[in-house]
Amino acid sequence: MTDPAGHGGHSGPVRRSVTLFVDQARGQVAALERAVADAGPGDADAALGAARGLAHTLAGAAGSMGFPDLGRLAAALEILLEGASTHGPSRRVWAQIRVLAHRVVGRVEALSVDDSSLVTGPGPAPPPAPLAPGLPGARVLVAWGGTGTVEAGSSVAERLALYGWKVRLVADTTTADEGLTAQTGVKPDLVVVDLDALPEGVATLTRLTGPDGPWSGVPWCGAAAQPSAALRMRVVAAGAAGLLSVPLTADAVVDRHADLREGGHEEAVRVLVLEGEPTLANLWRWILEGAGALVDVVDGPDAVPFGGSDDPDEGIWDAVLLAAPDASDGAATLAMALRRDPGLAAVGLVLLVPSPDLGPVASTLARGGDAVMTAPVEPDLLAATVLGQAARAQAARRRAGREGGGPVLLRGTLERRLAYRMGRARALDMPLSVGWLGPGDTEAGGAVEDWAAADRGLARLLRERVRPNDLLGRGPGDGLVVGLPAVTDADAATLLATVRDAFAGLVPDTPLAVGWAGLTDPDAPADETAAGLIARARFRARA
Amino acid sequence: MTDRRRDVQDLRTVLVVEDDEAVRSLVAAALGDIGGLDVRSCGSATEALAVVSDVAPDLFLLDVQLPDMDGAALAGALRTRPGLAGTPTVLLTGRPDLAERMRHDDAAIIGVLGKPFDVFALADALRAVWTAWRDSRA
Repeated sequence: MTDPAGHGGHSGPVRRSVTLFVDQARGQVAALERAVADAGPGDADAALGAARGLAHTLAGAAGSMGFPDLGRLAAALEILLEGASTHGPSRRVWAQIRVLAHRVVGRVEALSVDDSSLVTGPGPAPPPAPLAPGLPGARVLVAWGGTGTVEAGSSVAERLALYGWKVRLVADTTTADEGLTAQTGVKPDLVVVDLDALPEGVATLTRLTGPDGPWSGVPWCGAAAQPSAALRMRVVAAGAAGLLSVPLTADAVVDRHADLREGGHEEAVRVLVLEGEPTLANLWRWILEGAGALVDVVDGPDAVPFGGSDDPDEGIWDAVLLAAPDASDGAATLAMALRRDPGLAAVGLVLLVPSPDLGPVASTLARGGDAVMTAPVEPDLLAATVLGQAARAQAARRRAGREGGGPVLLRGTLERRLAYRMGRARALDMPLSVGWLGPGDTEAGGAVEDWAAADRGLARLLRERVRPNDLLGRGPGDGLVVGLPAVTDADAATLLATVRDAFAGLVPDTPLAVGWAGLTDPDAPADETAAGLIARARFRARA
Repeated sequence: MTDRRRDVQDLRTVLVVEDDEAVRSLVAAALGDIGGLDVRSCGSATEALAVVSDVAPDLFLLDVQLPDMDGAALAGALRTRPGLAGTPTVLLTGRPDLAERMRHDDAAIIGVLGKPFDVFALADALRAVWTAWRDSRA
């Protein structure tokens, strides 16, 4: 709702309408109950039509009246009743109709005018919006309070600047309000506040980053020497993006920012629904699309395109909802077959069975982390379960093939993904460049000692600069490789030069070798592989 | 809000036809009390046809599924009344698929607004449709 809680002085007419709706809805659900009772399975078209009309009326009105949950439930019931009128209600459809009708009646009987969002005003503010992905050189504000703590804050600020960040340090401030409010002319990408010295920073940042604050949507983190569970809960409940440990390190701030950026990368949830009953297929589609998913529906296992996508980054789906038509173990066996298909290995699976008594196959799936639900289901619970499974699958895919779960892809994974992008670049006649960065030779001609620490810093630097669709992974010779689709050699050279300069500041006295190569270089073989392209980049670094 | 109202001051009177009494009351509050428009509300197509000549609205806001006539048919019938031939219609519906088909078949249906609607934004949404339609005719 766009009106603030006061409703601009129009609460009288609005409240009267809501009161009218609540009274009217009670009469409607009494009629709905009668109509559903009259329309037994395979029976009474007129009663089904009447029930559908009542569900339609409720669905249209409830959301507008400030009861969106009731509106969604009534709309789901309307879809079922419409399908039942068209195709005839099967036993499964009928069971689902009865459950939803019962829920609608229960919700209406419990309605109170004072519970309408039109009367109570908008709910609590949503958490801050996720970061826009891929913006190098984040602008961060670090607030470090209390006398004598400037040094800690400034050393963090200096090192953050080496990563290419623009840092504004608020130090020696005695109150968060004083220190932070004075900075609101600039909108940072991240705020970090020392909660040991400035405990009231939680309230200040809740206000500043709230929907009406000057930093609306900006993520913020607290920092504390002893980040207890209670403090962690307090800051997260206040909308913070987390709690960092003191002494604060720039690396921790950079990593947290990268996590936020990756977590905020908007990735559409794609769900495949296997449902042979058209009425229920429509219902599942409506529920899941209403929850924001992209939905494909097939009516049986023969229609499932096994094998997944040819893009190793992308499965076709994040989750599969498989509705069992009966109590046999057939659907569970099919679910197990889906689970064993390599193209669907990383997919979240939700098996909808008609009985809570699970057979051995369904039990195995449930123990393995797949979700098994009993039909008929609550729409919101189904949506939450499917989206939860999809989110798990997306997270697993993001972590898969990375060194220690970090940002660097394993060498094999990198080469597979790079090969796919090379194929696309060739097909679209687009440039693609690869950079190799690794240990250079010391002045004495020897190897760099403790390259591991330098490698971690280099990985952070590169992660800060690559775009969401670029690749960052392990290359040969202890090096790191970046794959840069749609980037020419010249632009790759410019990017890598800035990385080399930043690395020199971040890890002084450590030689770094840098080379790059392009897909369309004159000396590139027409059928060059990903490993070959990387090898050319490395060769140039060594040349 | 004041400036925007001045900008679209030629939308003043709206005839609302909605059979659900509570929704009709809320639409009247949204457009009249909150939105500052003159609103005349009717609960049926029959009632709307009986009063429309006296109201002479700038725009019809019609529910798609009325008990005695659907929204598209009512829009056509209302436009047959003297002086109302060019009056545009906006449909208010929980079935946007159905309403979009009606809109495709009737150029005088200039927009579709969905249910549920935001009571505090309905008048602005209606003005936006009106302004786009008016500008397209300029």
